[in-house]
Amino acid sequence: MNPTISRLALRGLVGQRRGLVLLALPLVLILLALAVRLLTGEPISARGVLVEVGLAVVVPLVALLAANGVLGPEIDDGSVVYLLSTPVSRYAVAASKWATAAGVSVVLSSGGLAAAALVGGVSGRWVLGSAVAGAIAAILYTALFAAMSSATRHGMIAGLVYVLLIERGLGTLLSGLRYLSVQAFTQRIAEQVADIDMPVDMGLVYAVVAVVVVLVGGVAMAGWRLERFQLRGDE
Amino acid sequence: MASERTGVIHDIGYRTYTGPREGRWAIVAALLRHGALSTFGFGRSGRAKVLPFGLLVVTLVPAIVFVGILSFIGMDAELLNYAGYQQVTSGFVSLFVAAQAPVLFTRDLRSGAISLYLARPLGAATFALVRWGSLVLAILAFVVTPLLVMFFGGLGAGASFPEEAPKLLVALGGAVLLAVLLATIGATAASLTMRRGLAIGGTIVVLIFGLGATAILQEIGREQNQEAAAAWLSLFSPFVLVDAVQHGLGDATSSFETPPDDPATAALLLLSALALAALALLMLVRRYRRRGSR
Repeated sequence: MNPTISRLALRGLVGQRRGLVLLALPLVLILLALAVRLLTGEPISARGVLVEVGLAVVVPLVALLAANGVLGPEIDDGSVVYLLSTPVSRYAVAASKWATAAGVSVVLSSGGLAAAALVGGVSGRWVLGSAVAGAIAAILYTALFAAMSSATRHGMIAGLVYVLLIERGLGTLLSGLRYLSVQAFTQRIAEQVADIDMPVDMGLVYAVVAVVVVLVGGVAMAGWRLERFQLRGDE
Repeated sequence: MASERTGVIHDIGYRTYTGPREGRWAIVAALLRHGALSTFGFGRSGRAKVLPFGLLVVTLVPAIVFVGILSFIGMDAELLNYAGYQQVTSGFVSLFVAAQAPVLFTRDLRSGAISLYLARPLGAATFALVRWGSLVLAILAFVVTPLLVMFFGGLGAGASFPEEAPKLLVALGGAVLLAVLLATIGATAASLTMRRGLAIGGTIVVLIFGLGATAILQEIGREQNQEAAAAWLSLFSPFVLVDAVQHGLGDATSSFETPPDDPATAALLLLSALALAALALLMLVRRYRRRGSR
């Protein structure tokens, strides 16, 4: 881990008003929860707003923007070679960048979900549970998306295809895909940790192993790709 | 210094261009054509064609399945819901717009090459609008292809032309409106962020999140018996808005909870959406002016 790289990545991520795009998503979620509560006059349905919108859309998108924001632009415009020419292990580069992305998205996801749960007026167990689930999901998704954005120039699209098509689109039709879904691992672990109901049918051992594989594998894959980075023109 | 000059000017055969000179419209047409084609990856590398054509193929799958069901099982032609098709494939359409708008709107703005383009006779306003126009054309091609596949496939499977044609026309009108609105959103996001990743993210957030949030809020509106107010929420999502306009003005079946029931509301919705789009285009032109003058 290299604190300087982390700090520079943080500046690239949230500096110059770029952080506003990231901040917009959790804010909209909170506003949505508030609007739903004011309009119906009852506590929001934790399942509908917090899980279906918050955990399934907002958290992956925040993680995707953060993970791509620390790696993508530099690879896109080629300035990553200046970073790679420093005598720092590429794995350390990847880990430091991932740490920044994960930190930012943990704060935004878990804070956003917890705040949405609070203004939505759901039980205290759900406030805690959604904060925990948001944090776990943010850490896992950023590791996965960091690997994707180091593997291809179209990391953003690859991540979106994973979240929107594989997890949400096909996942509802083919339930076996839950064994490949970061969403499902997160829900299973959060169910265990925070004692809330999540409808995931999966062994706890499998979920824990999968979480470790995604986390370690993702960051290692990003480092490995940076180690074999090739200079290429724009297409 | 010797006053005697010994230099000679050699004629090495340079010639000026004497062929026909095309006017302003030829430039516009060429730029429009180039932009629309490069959105689909023509004139770029093979890898650039994978994504747009891959998405197009996936978008065609439901249309082919519908036509297949119609011709082999022979259910009634009600299956061919042209107006509701974009709502079924909204995820793919959003991905296409998000991924391909930066092709036209980020690279030259970011690198500063834009000031070279804008120094040419076309000027900032026309350049920006032509770029937007080519995005509209590309999105139109993307959303209309499945409709045509469904229409001609349906005719081949025995649907009646006089029954299907009006429904197709309504859906085509909706497709034009959808292309205009989506291109405006994509162009705004891409030209403001100037980074491919951020532009894709921003467009997706507006389109997919806007669709989800509008659907939730409209459902609540219906439960609270506030249908009239809930209809106006469709301004938050192009997909819902197109559905509302098709329902209100073209009598198409709506896919959402609270479509406007009278044509007047639908017309007002249409006008407000177009006004918002015009405002966004004005901002786009201003953005190009400012970047081009650096």
